[in-house]
Amino acid sequence: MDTKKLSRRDFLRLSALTAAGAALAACAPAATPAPAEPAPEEPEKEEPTEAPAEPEEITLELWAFVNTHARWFESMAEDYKAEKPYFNLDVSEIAYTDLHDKAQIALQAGGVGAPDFLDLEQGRFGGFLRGGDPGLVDLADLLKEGGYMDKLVASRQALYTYKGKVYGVEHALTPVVFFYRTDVFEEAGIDMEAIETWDDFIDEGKGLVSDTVKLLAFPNHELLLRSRGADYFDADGNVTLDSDLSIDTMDWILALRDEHGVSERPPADDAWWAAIRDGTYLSKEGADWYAGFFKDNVPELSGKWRAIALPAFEAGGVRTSCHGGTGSCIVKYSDYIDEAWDFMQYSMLSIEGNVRRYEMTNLFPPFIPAMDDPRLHKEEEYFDGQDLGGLFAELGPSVPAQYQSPYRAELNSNLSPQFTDMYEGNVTPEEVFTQVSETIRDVMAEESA
Amino acid sequence: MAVTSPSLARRASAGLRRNASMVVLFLVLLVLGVLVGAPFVYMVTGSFKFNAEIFAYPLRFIPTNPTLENYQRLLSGEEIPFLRQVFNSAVISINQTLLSLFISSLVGWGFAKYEFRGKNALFTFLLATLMFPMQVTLVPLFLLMVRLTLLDTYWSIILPGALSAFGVFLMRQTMLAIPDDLLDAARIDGSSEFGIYWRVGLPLAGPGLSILAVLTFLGSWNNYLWPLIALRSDEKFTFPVGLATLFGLYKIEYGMILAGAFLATLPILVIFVVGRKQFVAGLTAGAVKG
Amino acid sequence: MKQWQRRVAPYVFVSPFFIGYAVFFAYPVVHGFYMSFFKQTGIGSEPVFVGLGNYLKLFSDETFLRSVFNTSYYAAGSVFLIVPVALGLGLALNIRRLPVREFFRLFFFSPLITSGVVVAIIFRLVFDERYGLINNFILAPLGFDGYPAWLIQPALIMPSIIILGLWRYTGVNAIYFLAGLQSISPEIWEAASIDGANRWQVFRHITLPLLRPTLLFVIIIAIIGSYNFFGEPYLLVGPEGGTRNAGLFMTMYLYLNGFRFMKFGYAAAIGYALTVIILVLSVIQLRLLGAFRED
Repeated sequence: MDTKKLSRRDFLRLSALTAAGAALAACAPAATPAPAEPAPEEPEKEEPTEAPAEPEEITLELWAFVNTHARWFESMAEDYKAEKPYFNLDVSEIAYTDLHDKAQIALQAGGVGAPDFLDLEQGRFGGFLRGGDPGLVDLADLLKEGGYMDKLVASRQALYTYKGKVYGVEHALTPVVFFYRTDVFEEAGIDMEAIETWDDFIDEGKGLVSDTVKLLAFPNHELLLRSRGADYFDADGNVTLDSDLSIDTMDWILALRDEHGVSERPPADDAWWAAIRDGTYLSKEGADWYAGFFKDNVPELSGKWRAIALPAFEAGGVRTSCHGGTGSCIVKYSDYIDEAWDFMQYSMLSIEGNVRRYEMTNLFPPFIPAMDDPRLHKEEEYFDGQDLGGLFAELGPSVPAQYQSPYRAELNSNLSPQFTDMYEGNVTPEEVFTQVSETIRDVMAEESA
Repeated sequence: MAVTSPSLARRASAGLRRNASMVVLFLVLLVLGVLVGAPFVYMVTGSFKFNAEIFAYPLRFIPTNPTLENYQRLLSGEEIPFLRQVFNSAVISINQTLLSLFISSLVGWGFAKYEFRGKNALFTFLLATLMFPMQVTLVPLFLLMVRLTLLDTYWSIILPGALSAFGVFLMRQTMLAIPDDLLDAARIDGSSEFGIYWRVGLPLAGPGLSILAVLTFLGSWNNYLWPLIALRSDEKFTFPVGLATLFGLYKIEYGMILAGAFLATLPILVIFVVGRKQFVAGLTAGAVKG
Repeated sequence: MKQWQRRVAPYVFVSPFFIGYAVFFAYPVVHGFYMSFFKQTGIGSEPVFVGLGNYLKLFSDETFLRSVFNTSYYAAGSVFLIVPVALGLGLALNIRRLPVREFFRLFFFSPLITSGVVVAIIFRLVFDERYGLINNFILAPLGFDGYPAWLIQPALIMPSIIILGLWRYTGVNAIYFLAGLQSISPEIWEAASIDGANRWQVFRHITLPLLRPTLLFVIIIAIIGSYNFFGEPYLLVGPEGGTRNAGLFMTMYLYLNGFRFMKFGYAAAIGYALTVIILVLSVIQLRLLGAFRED
């Protein structure tokens, strides 16, 4: 047996390997700030103190979860730097769930590890309000002093307002429209502009359905419910997920398949765009940002889509809804709150910034002075030359309100895993909605106790 | 060996049967191998596909319209600083592995080769720590890192990761087999106790060390949950955390993720192929002895 | 002098682990235990002492109980499917006449070299209902009609995760068995086969008893690994575990409560419940198979 010899040789090889590792590790400090010392946010240049006119260079950090937002912030920061050369913005793009989870931990830890700016999605925002102090700057007074209160769409700002404090500024109006395959409907001789209600749409479009083609995948329940004037929570924060209207809306969604045969369960997220590309679904309800997703994910369908106002449940009913939304927030533990607020005004609260955001991301401004800007209205090549901005602007005033609750994230976490079961008919909407509502009511009762 | 003719015939038929069952076994392993390998191949070929082709009928392994776009976008650093993140992973994994090897072998040596009061209690405690799930410590450990101002540094990952009860256990098992005579001989030669560990224990624990090195390195290289919490800026992220960024709410950048996965696996693969003899020897010889 | 050094040395040698452990684990573990007696509900909230409240609540929390069931389901799959397959593979890879044996050994280990994040993402492509490898390349050629929605149907979610586990962890466990097998002297087998024992008898009465320590080790690692499983299911079926929470592991529920619902105390209690389960299972196991021994 020569195990001894073998192990010595192994050890030699191993030491060679580890030596290489040490060498690689050793060059770490050269390329990066030394890992041993936590690098505080030092100003990059040390300006002599006798020149107070030239402020020290500062770097603010921002976390975003969509690359379009990240790109827009970077572009705004670049221009801002022309006015304020000392200002730097370091934008980190972090995955959606990760960003919100990390931000909550950092804020819970008293702001350690938190950036200066946070982009928080409205669906997760409620969770930050749970303990009473989200660790974000209350912008109410700043917005009032700056005269911005009347310039922002109130129903959107309501998402980030809690007990009189305003913790964020909304990125998008999120008016919901109804996208459809104009090439297919036109060929079938269907005039989509004449559609007013869902019944109209189903009657007109039925003939296009086949084994592999459906009029639409099951639409989003929350979105439809809002178009009918209700939501998962009411204005007072009560759970209304199990309201008759909510149950009726879900029953209606299932009837699209079971009665009308025009719809089906959507494929998993991963395969969704493939199904759109293959022409499996001829229409899709979606907010302003969804327009950008079409361009990004299925560029090959350029020119084949248009949009109308969302069909109503009854003639004369509301023709839109709201869906999604993201608030830009300032962390109250930031060392540069004044500078952050200044940049926020420059980017989030200016006509220029709002227009550029629309151009880069299709987010329609919730900032009223920007809404009439001619640059929002242009013929969109992707949408067959349609002026989408015009449609968004037209629907803007009727976008329904949406109410924030500290319990929304938990409600969604309980609800979302159950949709497939409802779709498959294993449970009724009434059972699911009642059960989830009761669970959340219990949590609320327990926490207020 | 002298063989008589009747037994030769019997042997021949037994050999034939054995060969037949070997062929069957070989084929079974081959099929299993294909099943194990397919996801990898799909990862590699998928990295040369546009997202549109990954989700298109009919499904194909080989891209019909191969593209380098995924690699260009990934390496350009415009969307995520991928190369930087791989570098972070390398620094963290290598340091964590070295530190862990040293601590585990030293502690394992203490348990394997010495009798001392409280040894059994300490060893039982050490094994019991294996039972504690990492998740229990997440929040408190995070708060601790805040207090030590180690948050968002390499050390916040390296230090807790270098302590491995599993590693100690493995090293102890390996070192138990080293004959005590060698220690006594070294003592007679005037070696210090640390010197014995360094010159006798470590070299003879080679195979065990190499399996521990492999497992620690892979564990660290691929770790997701703790780096996700302890690192905050994308310049500091390890590559799994960075790649998860491309796993968006509404859009999953499959092509780029697969390209990144392939690139990040490549160095490991190279090390693997180059050091394969030693790996197999280490993995098999050094692992567990009862 | 030498004698003195020899008495102190072991304490010095084992101390780094215990010092490091005290700082990076003992403190968090104790702090976590303390937190488990408090109710804390979000950023900026003050912890309120609730005694055993969090623990009592676990018993009536259906989602928690489901996560216990799911995790145990996976652990059972791990112990009763992955470990036996690994044992078989280990035995096969130990056969001297096996062609390209070294290649196989390395190859079956290879799934472990990829990050769990990557594995989860690749397996979303493996399991996808319409564009997945299994449905298109295995089930379709076999003539199946109507593809299963692996990651969507509650009954299929956990089998999918077990398949992922089988793919990823069989190889490394086989290597452990291989190590155990190699420490068995070949003469023992030769003696047995001369005695006329058939293969099953040799395996049952000679190999398996000699492999007992390895088996013990592998099963304990499998149980601990199962109850600590996080990254792959988290990314494969989402933080809530997919339809009807069918893929929700205890670690995911802990994470969800601690880092999404901000219920730190409750999350800590889940952590301790997890610890108790692992502890109990490990002790049962040690009893059944005999404790770690020094041979």
